[in-house]
Amino acid sequence: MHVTSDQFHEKSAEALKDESLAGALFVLGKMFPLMREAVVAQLPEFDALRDRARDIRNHTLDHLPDYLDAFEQKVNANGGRVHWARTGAEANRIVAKLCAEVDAKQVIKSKSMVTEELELNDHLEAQGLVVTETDLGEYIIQLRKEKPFHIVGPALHLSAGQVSDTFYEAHKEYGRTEKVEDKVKLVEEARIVLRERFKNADVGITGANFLIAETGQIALVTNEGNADLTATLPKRHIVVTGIEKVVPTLDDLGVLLRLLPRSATGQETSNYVSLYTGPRQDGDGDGPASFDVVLVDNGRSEMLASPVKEMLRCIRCGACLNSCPIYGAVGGQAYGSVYSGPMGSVWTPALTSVSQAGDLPNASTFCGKCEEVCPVRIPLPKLMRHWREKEFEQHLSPTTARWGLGVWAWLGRHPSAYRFFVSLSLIGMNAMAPAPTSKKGRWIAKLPFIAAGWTKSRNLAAPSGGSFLSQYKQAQKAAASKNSARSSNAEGENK
Amino acid sequence: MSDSRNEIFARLRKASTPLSPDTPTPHPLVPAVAQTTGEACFTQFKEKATALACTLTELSSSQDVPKEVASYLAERSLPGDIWCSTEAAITSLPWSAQAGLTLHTDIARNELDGGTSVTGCLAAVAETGALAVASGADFATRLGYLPDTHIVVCRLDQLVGGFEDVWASIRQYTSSGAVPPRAINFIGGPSRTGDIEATLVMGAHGPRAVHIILVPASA
Repeated sequence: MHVTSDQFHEKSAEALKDESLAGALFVLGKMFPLMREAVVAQLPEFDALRDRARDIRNHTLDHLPDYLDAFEQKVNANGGRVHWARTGAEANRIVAKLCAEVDAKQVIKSKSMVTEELELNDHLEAQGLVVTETDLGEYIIQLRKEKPFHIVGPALHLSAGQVSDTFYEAHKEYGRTEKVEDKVKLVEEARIVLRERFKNADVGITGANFLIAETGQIALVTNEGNADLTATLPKRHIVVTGIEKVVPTLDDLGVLLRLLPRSATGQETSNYVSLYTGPRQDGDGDGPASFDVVLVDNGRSEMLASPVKEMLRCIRCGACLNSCPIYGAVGGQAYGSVYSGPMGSVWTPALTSVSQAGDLPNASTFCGKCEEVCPVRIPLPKLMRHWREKEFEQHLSPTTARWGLGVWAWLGRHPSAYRFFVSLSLIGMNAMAPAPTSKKGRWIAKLPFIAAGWTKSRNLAAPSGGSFLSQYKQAQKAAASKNSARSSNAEGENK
Repeated sequence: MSDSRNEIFARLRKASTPLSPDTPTPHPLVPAVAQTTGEACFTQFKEKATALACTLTELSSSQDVPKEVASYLAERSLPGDIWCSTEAAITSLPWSAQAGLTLHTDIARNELDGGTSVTGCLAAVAETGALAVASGADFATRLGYLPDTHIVVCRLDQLVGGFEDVWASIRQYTSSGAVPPRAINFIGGPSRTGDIEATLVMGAHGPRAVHIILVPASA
């Protein structure tokens, strides 16, 4: 996976200036959480289901090789094949070979974050294949050669006007002569173009939302129905997904199916929920002649043995993105990785390195909202903190930050020095704050040295009163004198 | 390839513990919304299916299905060409007696594209309002995806509470050592997308309309 997460600072600064992006992010950050809340409120068992989902995912991860083995055996018994890929490159080679086996020329795909992670399309195109994404959002970003903006809505950063421009250029060969900005017409235009691709494709590639060890089936969830056309019309169906997607039973799948659409898009159910078992069977009216499942490790087995193991519970709903104030300000592109937002800030360093993606786990206010909405209760702030610690250990954090933390740590171990520093700071900050001009209190407009960053875009409230410790001491003293007064009174009464 | 498998499994084994018969497994939890029965189940299905933008009609006899199909299509000025799934419950209906309908059997992709399909279903799920269909000799999966209009005939005895009821029918295959149908699809109304500016637009890839005809349990 190629990432440009080391450019997070520059890209997020650019994103903050982008007004059309701000509009899209406002809608995303407001609408999705509200829809989620509304639908969650109608399911009294929602939190109990989250606990259950966490337990199911933990249990599966604790016994992952056993469940993968069971899944593989069932797939084989159902007439399919399982292929194992240690790395992204190996997965890409396997898929290319599977395409070559059936002399494929045209490949259709339904949305899969794992294939985005592998950059599978680039690899297949280099082999001369024509690859078409069929999820509308994925299709748009494929035409624009962009990475997904959001793991659920890959093109949500674009306006209808931008989509119109993209379609106008891409669809000229289909006789499109006018730009349409009407969303219904844009969807119709894509439908017409993609319907032909569906009919002519030799191979269909899907991801899998879940793998069911009990039956050897794969589960796919969409609203467009594109995954089902992809899995049904071509002569070969290839499933590419991560090894962590397995669940033990259909009952476990039931628990997760009730959480995924509610958390992702605030829907009670996705419009299409499908289970695929294998190739076309005797007597079937349609379906692919072969069914191949490519299970990708690509760093996941190392994650299983690492302190960020819990991240493997992720079901890719995107709720943490929608609720994140950082994602909500800069959007997905700034993260420089196919995985963005809080979940991407934990996955990306795990799949690459802290030196490449260390800025991402730092891009957090640690407000905890991501953990609060996670359907499988992943402690995202804790896991981001892990990468911050790694970054510090590996001496990758900036000198000023390291120096600052060093000073802070020293002060923390020397209470009298700490108190002296605080009293000096109080004097300094009070001197910096002008007298109150209104009822709004006293504010510091500009802090010196490294603290200047804080006041660049906002003011800091001036300290009111002394430090906590001095106020505490005063309160203790006052209480003591009150007590002694009361006890002397009491003594007086007894006499 | 087996090298890759071995290597991945070796790493996974190191980071996990073997499953034994006495390893506790999480118990399934089925919400109340998925456990309705009788009249409540029926009412809930109709509500949820409508919320998913399906249209519904109740008939007192399945013999009236051809008439209902013809009038549904005529009201929308759609041609009377229909492609049916081939289970007896559908093929045995009095199609030939119905004026305005032409039955087709060729389900080649160009034929079916944009047409109207009339099919049965495996189950109607009250939890979500979705219809479960299973591939097989009677039902080609594409019947639920390539046409512009999908008309589903559902017998009241096919009404179930939730996902778990469909899992039970899958287990009827696996428990006897048989392979479950290639495809089991829960179809929750017409196809839709929110991928442009998060605005909901109907008819993304699959049918633009899903019409449910509810018929009594006994023919």
